[in-house]
Amino acid sequence: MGIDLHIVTQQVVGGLAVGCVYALIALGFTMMLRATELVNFAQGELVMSGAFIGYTLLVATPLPYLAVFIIASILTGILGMLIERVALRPIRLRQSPLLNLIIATVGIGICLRLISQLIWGAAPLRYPVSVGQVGHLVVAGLPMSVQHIWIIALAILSMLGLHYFFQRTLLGIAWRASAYDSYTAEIMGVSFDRVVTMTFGISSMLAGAAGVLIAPLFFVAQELWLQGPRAFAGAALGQFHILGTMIGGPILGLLETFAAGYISSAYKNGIAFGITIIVLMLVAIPRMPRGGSLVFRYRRQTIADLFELNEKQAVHLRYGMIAALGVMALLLPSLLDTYELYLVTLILIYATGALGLQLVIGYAGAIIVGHAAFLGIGAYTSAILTVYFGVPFLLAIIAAAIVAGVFGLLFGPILRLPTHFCAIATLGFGEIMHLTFINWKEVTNGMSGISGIRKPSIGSFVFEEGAPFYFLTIAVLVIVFVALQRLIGSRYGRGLIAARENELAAVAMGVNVAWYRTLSFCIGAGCAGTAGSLYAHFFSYISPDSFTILQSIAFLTMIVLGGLGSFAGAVIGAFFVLGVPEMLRWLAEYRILIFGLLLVAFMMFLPGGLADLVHRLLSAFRRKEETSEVSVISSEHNETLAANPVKTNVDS
Amino acid sequence: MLTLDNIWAAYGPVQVLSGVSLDVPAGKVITLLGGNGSGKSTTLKTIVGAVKASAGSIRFEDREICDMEPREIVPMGISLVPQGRRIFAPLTVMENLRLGAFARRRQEKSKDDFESIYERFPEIRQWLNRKGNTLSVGQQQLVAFGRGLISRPKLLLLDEPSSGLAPILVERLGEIIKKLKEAGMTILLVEQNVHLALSVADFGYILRDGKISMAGPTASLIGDGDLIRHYLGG
Ligand SMILES: Nc1ncnc2c1ncn2[C@@H]1O[C@H](COP(=O)(O)OP(=O)(O)OP(=O)(O)O)[C@@H](O)[C@H]1O
Ligand SMILES: [Mg+2]
Repeated sequence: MGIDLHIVTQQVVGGLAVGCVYALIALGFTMMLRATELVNFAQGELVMSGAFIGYTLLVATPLPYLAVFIIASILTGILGMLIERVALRPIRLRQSPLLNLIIATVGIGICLRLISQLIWGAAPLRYPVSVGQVGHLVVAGLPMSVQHIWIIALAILSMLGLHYFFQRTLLGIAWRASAYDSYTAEIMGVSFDRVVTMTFGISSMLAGAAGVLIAPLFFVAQELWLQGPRAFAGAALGQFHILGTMIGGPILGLLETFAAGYISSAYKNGIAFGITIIVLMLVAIPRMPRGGSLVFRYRRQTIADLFELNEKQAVHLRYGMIAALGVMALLLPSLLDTYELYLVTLILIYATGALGLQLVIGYAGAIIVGHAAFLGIGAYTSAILTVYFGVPFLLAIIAAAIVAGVFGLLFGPILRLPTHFCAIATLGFGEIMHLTFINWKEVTNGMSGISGIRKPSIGSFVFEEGAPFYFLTIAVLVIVFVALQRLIGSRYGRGLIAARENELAAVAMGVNVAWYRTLSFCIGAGCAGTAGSLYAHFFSYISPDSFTILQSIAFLTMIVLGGLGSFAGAVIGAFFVLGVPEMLRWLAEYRILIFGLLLVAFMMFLPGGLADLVHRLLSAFRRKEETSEVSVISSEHNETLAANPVKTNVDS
Repeated sequence: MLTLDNIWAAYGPVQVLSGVSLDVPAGKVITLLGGNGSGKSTTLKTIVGAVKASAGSIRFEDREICDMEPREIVPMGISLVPQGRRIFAPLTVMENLRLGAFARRRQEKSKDDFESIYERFPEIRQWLNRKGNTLSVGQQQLVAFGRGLISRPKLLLLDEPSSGLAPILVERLGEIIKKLKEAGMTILLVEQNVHLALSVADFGYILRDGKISMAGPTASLIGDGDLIRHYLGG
């Protein structure tokens, strides 16, 4: 008979329920974008926090669900304001670029996830649902879940409350005024700093409310945080208008439900990201190049500058250092035990991938939160070619680089998006690729992964585990490193840097900025693909779990802690991110928490990363004035975040 | 009432004010003239605290306000009508007016405040529900005045109110300023329209390259017409 009306009703009501929750979360994104141009990557973790807080209240107190809903929302709101005041305001007031703030919110997200794990454990918890909420309601002969109706009703009430706040209260009007023109609002006495805190408060409150609403539908677990980035699609669908988002959320919910029901449920979690990418590409690409730097203006001195060496001495120094590093690399296998060498090899593989990310973030000034996807693409390409088709390793690793690079080229236009949109779109790309690894079973073998990948060999020589593989890895790393360093010194590299420092000026100089950035994404992806091939052969086994958002964040951490805009920094960062936790094994889970804290702390106190620290120490050693500071600039960003937002991309 | 003493201010590396001193006595209309980019707006922004002075002192009714934030300064009774009016386009006229009183929200006497604005500018009453971006320039100027006056400031800072206005409206503007003065308002008027400024002000300052290059009662400045033009030209 085709369509069953009962099922359709349930789907519609269910989709609307989830969609209303999306709307609440997405409203947080929209408010934040309108008031500050920031995408808060911790929004999803705030949803999770709200759910956990609600859980505790329900279990530990006799409060009814409605009271818990309100209290948990308020507590989450307070949490959001605290986060803003303690961590983000100092970064913002230093007039750091948007990139630093985004990275800090990523760090805060990690912290929240880990803290919740320490408090509530990693195992999913079942939400205690009060009796009134189970069962079905029959309307016009069609059954609907009471729980869904509750969710829809409470979400709509919350939105009405928000609407009232914006339209009727002086504070709400002041918020709208500030979002439109923060300078003029400021001279009316509306403090921008307070508006930002308020924005964090309200959007976190909405996230908390969403958490309490959605938790009964799922288990409560750390995974709930992904609802945040997914809900972003609702904001995108609503064109980042408050009212639009209220409609965009439910549309997203319905689209997801029906696509899952009638097309394929395997990719359900990817639909939202697909929508985000498509909508952003259609509406958010700025028509005008912007002036002002995207990342930092690096005034990092080379060691030769620092010690005032002449050219000849500088060359000597360089060869000296290369020789020293070379000797060290050669001796390492005999100095380390098997496990240590294994670890160092793994770090070098990651470092190869991190170099590619450094090119895209540190030099092209885009922000990528899905780099592990390219590692995965390279790994699968190499594994499939060698295992199923018997292709020799040398060809497979080149193919891995090329295939990953082609993906980079295809998705390169994402880099034309403004920083914060680029971040969310690439996060979405990463998630979609992860889902593809899981679900494209014919090719990737699904969750069981691909095993039996043989150690690489060239001719009859096999790079066995231990020293041989280590030397292979280091050779690849050096090739990639030198190639990238040369690239940056070339005309292309100078154009890329010029575009990062001032896009407008670069365009005037005749640099094809869009193409340069796309190319950087392609090359960066190629590096990750190369690393992925090594990764596959190193472990002999790969599965989708190795290429998730967690690995992507690890990559991001590497280059941020190492120092943006420094290839050596990327390698140092890889050693730091993967090496330090090994030394801190006794810290168990706290290790990851430390990473989150480090990300935030670096953005607060040392935005130039470890590379900058080295230079500071060296210049202190030279007893010279602090000359190597990374000055953070760009009057444009000052204006967008401090005084006078010129919003080209959100306002239509 | 307001005294600026040797104020320095910069936007990043761009030094804009290099030692501006001026005095606005209570009940007077003082005008600050100067060419494009000479730092007039910056001077006003420094007074309300939107731009931080790097050195110098600003005293308002015997209180040092140089290090305060706008949200502290504005409620003390200083109101700035910004250059280009900057009406909040997506907000209604009513909402724009309410924002004018934002800083004083704790001493809510708003009914009276609104009535006094309607009395002064009766037309505003008809636009209350219109969005800011549907108003003409002249209408915007009235709303901007209303927004600036609704908090009943002691000192009104006007930044080029005549720019973009048709000649008849400029005339009306002159009358509005004169009426405000009769009502005892203290005004610091920044203008490029020298004629208007000199016809309403008691005393004038001329700003050039971030410094006061000339000052005097308007009567004496009018006589010095050539000199003024010379200074404004630079
Ligand atoms: N936000 C800003 N960032 C950097 N420089 C600025 C900024 N605002 C103004 N300036 C510069 O400071 C100088 C003084 O600006 P200001 O707006 O005070 O001049 P003005 O006298 O009001 O000029 P106008 O008659 O055009 O309004 C100008 O050279 C201007 O380019
Ligand atoms: Mg001006």
